[in-house]
Amino acid sequence: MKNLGVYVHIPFCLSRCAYCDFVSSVLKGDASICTYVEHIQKEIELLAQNGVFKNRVVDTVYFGGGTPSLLKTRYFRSILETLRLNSREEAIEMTFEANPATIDIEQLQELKSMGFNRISLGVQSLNDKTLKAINRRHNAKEALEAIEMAQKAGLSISVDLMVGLPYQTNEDIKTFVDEVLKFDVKHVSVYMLSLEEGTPLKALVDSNKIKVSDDDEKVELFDYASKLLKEKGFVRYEVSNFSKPGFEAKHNFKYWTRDEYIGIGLNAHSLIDEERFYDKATFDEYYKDLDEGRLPHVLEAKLDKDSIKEEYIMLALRTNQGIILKDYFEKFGKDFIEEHKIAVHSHEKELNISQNSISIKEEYLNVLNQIVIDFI
Amino acid sequence: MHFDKSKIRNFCIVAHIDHGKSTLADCIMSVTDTVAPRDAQPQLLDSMDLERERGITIKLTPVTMKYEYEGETYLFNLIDTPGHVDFTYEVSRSLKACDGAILIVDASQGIEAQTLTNVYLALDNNLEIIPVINKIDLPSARPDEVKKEIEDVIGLDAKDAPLVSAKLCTGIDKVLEQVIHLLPQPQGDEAKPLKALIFDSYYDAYKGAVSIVRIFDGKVKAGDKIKMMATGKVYDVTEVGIFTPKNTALDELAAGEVGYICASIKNVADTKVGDTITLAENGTKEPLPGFKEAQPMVFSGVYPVDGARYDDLKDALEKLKLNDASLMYEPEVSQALGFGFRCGFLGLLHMDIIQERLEREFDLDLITTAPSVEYIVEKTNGERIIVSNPSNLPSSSEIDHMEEPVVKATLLTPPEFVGPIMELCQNKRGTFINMTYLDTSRVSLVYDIPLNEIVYDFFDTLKSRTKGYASLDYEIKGYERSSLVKLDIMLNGEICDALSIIVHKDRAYERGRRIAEKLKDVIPRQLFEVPIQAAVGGKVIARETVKAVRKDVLAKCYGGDITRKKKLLEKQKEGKKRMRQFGSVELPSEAFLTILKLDSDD
Repeated sequence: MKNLGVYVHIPFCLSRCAYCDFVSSVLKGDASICTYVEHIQKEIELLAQNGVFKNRVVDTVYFGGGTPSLLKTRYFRSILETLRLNSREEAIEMTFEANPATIDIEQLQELKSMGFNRISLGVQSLNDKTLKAINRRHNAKEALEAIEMAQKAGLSISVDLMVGLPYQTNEDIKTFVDEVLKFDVKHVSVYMLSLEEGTPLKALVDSNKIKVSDDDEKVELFDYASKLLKEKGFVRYEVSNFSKPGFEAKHNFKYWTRDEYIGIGLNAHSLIDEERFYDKATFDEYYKDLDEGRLPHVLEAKLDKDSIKEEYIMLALRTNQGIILKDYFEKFGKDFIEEHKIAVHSHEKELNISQNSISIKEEYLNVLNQIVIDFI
Repeated sequence: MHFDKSKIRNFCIVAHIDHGKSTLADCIMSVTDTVAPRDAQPQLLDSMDLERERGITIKLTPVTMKYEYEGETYLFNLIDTPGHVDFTYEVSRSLKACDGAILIVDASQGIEAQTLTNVYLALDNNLEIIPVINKIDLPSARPDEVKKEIEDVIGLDAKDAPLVSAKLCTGIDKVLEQVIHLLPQPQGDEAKPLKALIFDSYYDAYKGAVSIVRIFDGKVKAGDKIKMMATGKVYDVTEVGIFTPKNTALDELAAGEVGYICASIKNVADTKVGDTITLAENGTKEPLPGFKEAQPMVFSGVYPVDGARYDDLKDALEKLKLNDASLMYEPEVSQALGFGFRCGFLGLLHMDIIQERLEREFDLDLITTAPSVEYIVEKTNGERIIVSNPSNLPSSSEIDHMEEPVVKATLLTPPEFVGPIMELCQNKRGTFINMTYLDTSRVSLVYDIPLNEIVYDFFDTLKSRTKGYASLDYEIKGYERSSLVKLDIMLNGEICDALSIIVHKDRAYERGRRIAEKLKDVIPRQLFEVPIQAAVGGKVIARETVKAVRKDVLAKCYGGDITRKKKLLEKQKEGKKRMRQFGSVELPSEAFLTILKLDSDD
């Protein structure tokens, strides 16, 4: 039996954040959610028919978005029921993403009772001016109330912090960490803003109407957040992720360790049997395939040994556990250090090299690519 | 078949770049039905794409045409001449092959620098000259003023100069009529020993190196044994003929005629431009005067971006050399660039052309070092050596003094740009010689300028400062003593040999500072700080720093979309492959280009 992560994509939001270029649509009414959920269920059934859940145990479930917390709890229930009917679900971690503006305590308690044990809250900032500039629906007060609610509901809490946002200062970062950690938050994801083509924020920045940090400033802010979090006992276990020891995100960690996961829903990505594929990215295409009894998959790559190795290295080096030498040898039949002598030698300064593993020193994670490209 | 010499006219067209020389040639060919209209590509004489694109002629291709006039058939040999300063010697040999010249002057632009240079060259060769005013179809044409300019400046009678539009092919009969009446018939004696002037050559895969010749005395036919007088080498003639413009074999070429000689010669280096061909037995003792070896003036290191393509570059140079005897090259090793070649060119245009042909025709990516000239170094031990690669310059303690080549530069400009040009020449260490008002709208400025200043983007700067109105021509004057130093660029504390240049002592600081600034902009940030230092004799005169990179990571990875990340990384890796590793520093190819374009007004 292999472990399997299940990712369910909920591509709806009440409004679009200024920096967002993900597949999501602004919600028009409950009917569209209902249709979507029916198709999610249909997809699960088709996956089962295609044997995806055979010989696999679902050990993590993750509802991401978009804004999954927009869904009425009965929709969560229907999806989970279908999943449980069609697979062996023994999840030790079940996470849903939530927008602080769209949750209430009853909903959280109900989700808890369904088996969800973890919440990922998109707080991003506790500066109201900043939140407004990026078109988030919540303010600082609502965000802290949401965290408190999640704590009351008994969920393990993760919050997102974004750095490089308009009006953001070191002071804001400090406030964020101090205020958020007044609660029992076990996990913090810190992202640097990236300005994507076609987003409203990019347009504002291009026309000089708003200013965001340049790369060096972003790193300053990031490093400051990192320092504060570490002072509070957090470990940076991956490029963007900090947690108290033992509270690493188990589902997300599969991405770095190349464990299998199946994505369900619009544009959700999967890795199954060393094939990478994703679901079609428009509602029309996605619905059409399912209505006609086909899985809406688009194959990206059947990975050969070399690609697997390349992925393994580039992903493992994102984590603090790094490349486990014994594991590497078992998988690829080669001694990692011997195979990458030159790169190891030229990056001695940036690497932690022990008998068992090689990882990138924390202070070099933000320039990871410079190092990784010499290993692939 | 023999042609009565009195019916032969050998002539060329001289002009400034862009005044319509090739267009007029095309037009004459179409009037004489030399090329069927369907074959008439624009500017047929410019055989290489590159030349066609730049609108300039480099290679010389004669054409033999028949023209009926008053019941008689005339044979015209039109000899094309390159219009660029790099090829002055080749021009002089082509002119030698002619008895007369058509001088084209643009009806709106008037006389330009190269008009003068080429006219004087033609006059030096005792050619009769027919002035022709071209582009009279342009609204800005001012033919009367231009006629006056020709009379005042050159001293030619331009009263009857034909007014033509080569583009529309009008007025050409008048030109040809003047060719018949005003240009002399060729001299020479068929009975004397053979004297044939090689004024160009090219390589043919089947026939070997083909000499393009003007026969001055005697006759030559297939089966003859000929001797190259400069090299003493003897060959058997396999074919003689004329260009119509395709090669057309004839039984014989005789005095007064222009054509080609094939003799299974393996290398164009054995058909030297300016050499005299005679018969191996009973040949002439006296070669035609004026032969010179091709002399490269500008030198540059040429390296493949991908070091693994060294052999491809070598093959490509060999192939180009087959057709271009003036291209010189020898293997060179650079610490920064690996294995490559030091190449010698006739001038900057020649260098550009060779580099572009290597890249286009042979699909090579190249890194070229800053163009350099040949310096004479007199060492303290009395030894005199020639240095073109800055890395080969002895240490300053071993140098007694150095000499550098200086050119006499003639600049023609509308009066409003005299100030900017004088300033430019001053900046380029020029010595003012004289200034003449040719008429109210044109001034001629003459300066002596060190060649190493000309090779640093003098043309570009001149063009930008004078909005393209000024023209430049130069000729080598000789060597002069000069205070020169080697300027080194150190990256992360190590001298990068490919970036070293030789400069005048007084310019070293300024140039060092600008190179350092430019390099700072093109060297990408790396994992560590990279100091860039400019140094003379070990003393640092300028310093910049490329800060260490702070952010280079793909952070967003929602929902496990790994493929996109991998593609981005692979792209980055590809980019890195194109970098040159110098010590621990990665250098993009542009780094080596920055020092080529240093003094542009940007």
